[in-house]
Amino acid sequence: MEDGGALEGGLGGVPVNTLSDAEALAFKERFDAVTSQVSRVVLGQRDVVRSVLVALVAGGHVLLEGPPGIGKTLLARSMARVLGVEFKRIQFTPDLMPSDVTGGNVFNQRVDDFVFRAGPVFTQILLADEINRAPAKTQAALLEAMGDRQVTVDGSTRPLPQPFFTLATQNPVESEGTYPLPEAQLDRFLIKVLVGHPSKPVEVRLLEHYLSGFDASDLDAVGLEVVLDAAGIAQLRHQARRVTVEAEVLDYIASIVGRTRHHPAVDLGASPRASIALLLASQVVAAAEGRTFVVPDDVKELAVPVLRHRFLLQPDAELEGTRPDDVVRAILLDVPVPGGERGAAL
Amino acid sequence: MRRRLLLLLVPLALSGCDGLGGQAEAEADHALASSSYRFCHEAGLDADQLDAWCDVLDSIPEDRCPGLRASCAGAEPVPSTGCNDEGSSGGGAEGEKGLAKAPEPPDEPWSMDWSAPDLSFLGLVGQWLMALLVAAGIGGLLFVLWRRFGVGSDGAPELDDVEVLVSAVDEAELDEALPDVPSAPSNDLLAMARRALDEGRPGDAVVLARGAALRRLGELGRLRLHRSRTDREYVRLLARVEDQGEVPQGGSDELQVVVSMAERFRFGHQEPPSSAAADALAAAGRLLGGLVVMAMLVLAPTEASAQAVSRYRPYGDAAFADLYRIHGYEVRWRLRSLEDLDDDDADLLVIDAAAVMPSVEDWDAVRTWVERGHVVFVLGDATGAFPELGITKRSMSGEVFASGPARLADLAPPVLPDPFSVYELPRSAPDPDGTVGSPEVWFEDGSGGAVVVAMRVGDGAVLSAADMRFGDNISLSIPANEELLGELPLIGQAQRGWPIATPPRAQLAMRPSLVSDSNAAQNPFLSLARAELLPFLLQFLLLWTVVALWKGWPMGPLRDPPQRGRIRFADHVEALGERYERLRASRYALRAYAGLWLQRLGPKGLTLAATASGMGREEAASFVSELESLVEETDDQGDIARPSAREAQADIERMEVLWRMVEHSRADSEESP
Repeated sequence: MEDGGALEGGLGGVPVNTLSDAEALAFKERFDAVTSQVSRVVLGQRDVVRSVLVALVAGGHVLLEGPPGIGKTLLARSMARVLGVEFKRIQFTPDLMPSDVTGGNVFNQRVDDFVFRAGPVFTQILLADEINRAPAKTQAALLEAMGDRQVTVDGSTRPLPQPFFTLATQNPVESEGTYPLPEAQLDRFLIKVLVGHPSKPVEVRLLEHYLSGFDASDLDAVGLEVVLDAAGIAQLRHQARRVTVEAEVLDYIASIVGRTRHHPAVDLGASPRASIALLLASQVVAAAEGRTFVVPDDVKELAVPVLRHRFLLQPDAELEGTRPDDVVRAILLDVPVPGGERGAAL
Repeated sequence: MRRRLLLLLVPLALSGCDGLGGQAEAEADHALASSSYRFCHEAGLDADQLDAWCDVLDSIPEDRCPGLRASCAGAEPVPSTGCNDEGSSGGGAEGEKGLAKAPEPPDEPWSMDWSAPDLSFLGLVGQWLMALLVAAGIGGLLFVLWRRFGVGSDGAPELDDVEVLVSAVDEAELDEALPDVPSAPSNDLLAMARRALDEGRPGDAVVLARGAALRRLGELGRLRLHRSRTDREYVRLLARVEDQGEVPQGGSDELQVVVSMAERFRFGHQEPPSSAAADALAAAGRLLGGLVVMAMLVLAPTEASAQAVSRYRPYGDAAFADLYRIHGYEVRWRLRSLEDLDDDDADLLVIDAAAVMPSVEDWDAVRTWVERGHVVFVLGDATGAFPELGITKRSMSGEVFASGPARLADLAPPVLPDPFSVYELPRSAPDPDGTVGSPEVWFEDGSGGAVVVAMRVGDGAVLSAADMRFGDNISLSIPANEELLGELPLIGQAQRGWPIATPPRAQLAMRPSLVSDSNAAQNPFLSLARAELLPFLLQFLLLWTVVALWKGWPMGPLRDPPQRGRIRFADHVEALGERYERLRASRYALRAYAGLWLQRLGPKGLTLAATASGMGREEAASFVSELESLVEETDDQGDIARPSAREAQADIERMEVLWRMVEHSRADSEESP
């Protein structure tokens, strides 16, 4: 979210240079092509693939939560391959140090000086696997990278390659030996996606897929096509920002996020960054459907994944079993959907 | 309790149509039970007034007042009836208006007659008891099913079933009125959409078509409209029920066409082409009922029928409010006595004099209010406040002509059945001190009587139509009358400089029970009956009785909960404990507890407490040291990793040991002198 959510548009939330129908259709085609390619490998997770791609195009990061073994790493790798960008993975462990993420200066005897050895964060798609296995200070090493797309080591700031996209996974917080992510870091994830075990038919398809020779470690054999590149991603991002957003839709977004700050089950509500995230993601979803404008349905569809990790529940609510998703859904039920006033006034 | 309740219920249930006589009868003018409405829409009512209105039937558009037309065509008229026929002529507002005495609602069980008890209430009580028995039976069945298959049927509560704070979706809420779909009937909305399309507003047309389609699907019960649902959700819901075979296929596709077009206009600022809008309207039309509706659309609604959609609604007084809203007024109902008129209340006060029947004090207050710079529009005789208007008389001329400002504005004259009332204005100037202007005739009959008259009074003005039927619902079915009611005050503002702000604020004094102290309820039961709360109250009391008999008197002495309740409470605590354990909160709790006692007693004091509780010296020192290191370690670490189940169990055991030794130590200190 390097753009800080500044609208590119003029009055009423309408961008000055709005997306044309032809551009929207081209956007949809490219978006669908990526989704289809990745879904060839990651079976039965089309919605997850789509969510990840929405976050990437919106310029955000994704937090995937789910049990091990459901294809999170495969998703990141296949996504990187289809997008034609560099991919690295960090397995977070309790003894992982911040310098293991960002890299650090090491003394090079040959040149008799300290030289910077880049860490795995210097990539375009970063898979932060089981991010909540590492202690807080190591998790915090990613804060600057995710927020500002840069890394500062020993006072020297180095930009990350573009696009930089973090796909973090975490086990459910009830798992043993986990460290909950700090709120500041959670807020930097545009979307949090809950991934569950596949259904039985999907699992059968998965087995058949492997039976036919699929090997997750050898994606070359699958023949995934590169359908986009870094420049293409940048172009999609630019186009998504030109999607029209009606003023009443902006009001709808602000109402939803605002309600999280006054909900009785919520201790600390969502920040304005959440509103911006919801707006940007909604624009991408609209463009991905070939539309040049955002409809309330886009906002509603994204509200749960965008907001579920951005507020703190009251302790008693948490103990009683209330989940953030319940809160967001209750809020969505309470906030009127915009539209129809023109009809009512006639 | 039962005896007390019966004592309470008996007077409530004593029903008699005589009841409180004219008072209760006057209150029968509930908007939905309006005899005016029924007179217009139901055939065979109000023989007394039939002939008069049949004469003006030609002035009423053909699509209005089917009941009246049927009556005039020869349907069997039903004389005004009520529980007491004699009462229908005395004192009631509608009797005064001389219009449309409709049959009173057959059930007036809540009016009371203390002197002549009527045992017919027993039938009602029997119905209540039967309803309660049925409800109890259903409740019992559900309870048995719940016990058999529901939560906790195996005794131990499941953690996943711990009640959540956020309530689930309340299905009842889904029936809530929807603000973003206009509340007009679907056919009317579609007619308006068609009109918008004809007028070159395809965007508005598709928005209205969308409203019509959704409203129709809601009316059919295929969709449950709710303010939080998006159009696309409706499409998906409809597709789902179609897939389940509950409704015919194809509706979701039609709806998809309509909402897509509407979205494009509303959220994309893209005016649809007329052809696309026509497609959307056709799709909405198919949703609304297929070929019949399409045929209606082909016929293209006329101006009059479009007005009928927007202005003439079968809601009695509500039609009046709508009419003023359409003319741009901010409309409110007068909910206080006319004696309490304030300057801030409104610019224009509309009084249905025949219905409200203001007292002398009311008229004085109205005049004073007008003199302070406001405008009053009196439907009926206004000479009570403005004697300068002369007297009223019957006109038999049968013709009405516009004059003065009305003529300039080219207004069509009102249509009223003969004979109608007119003012006979005084010949001499009525006001020697000059604060009152001369009455100005805006509409007159053939004999020079004033049908509608206006006059400046102080800083304000009065406008009055002499005939009390002018504002009745049946009168509103005539377009000219309908137009005049909204336009006349605005003409006074434009041409005579009346003090009406823009937008004008109007208050409607239409209901006697709301604006006249003399009609105030004389006992709480009547007040509740007017508010139609008595059934609710009775239901509540009965329910309360049942609950009291079941759970005990709520204000009775405290007693221990039954054994079953205690077990449930213990189960709940256990469930919470397990929840804590699942959250791995033991380490936090132990650190906090140990830290507290280390801070209060210090390591030495804690060691002494441990030895005092029977622990060996070395063991005590080791235990305290262990606690110290735990507290320091977790303090340094900041974030505490969630312990394993085994570690959590050890934490809890250490906490128990700590608790025992501290308690022992405290008990010793309390026993010592």
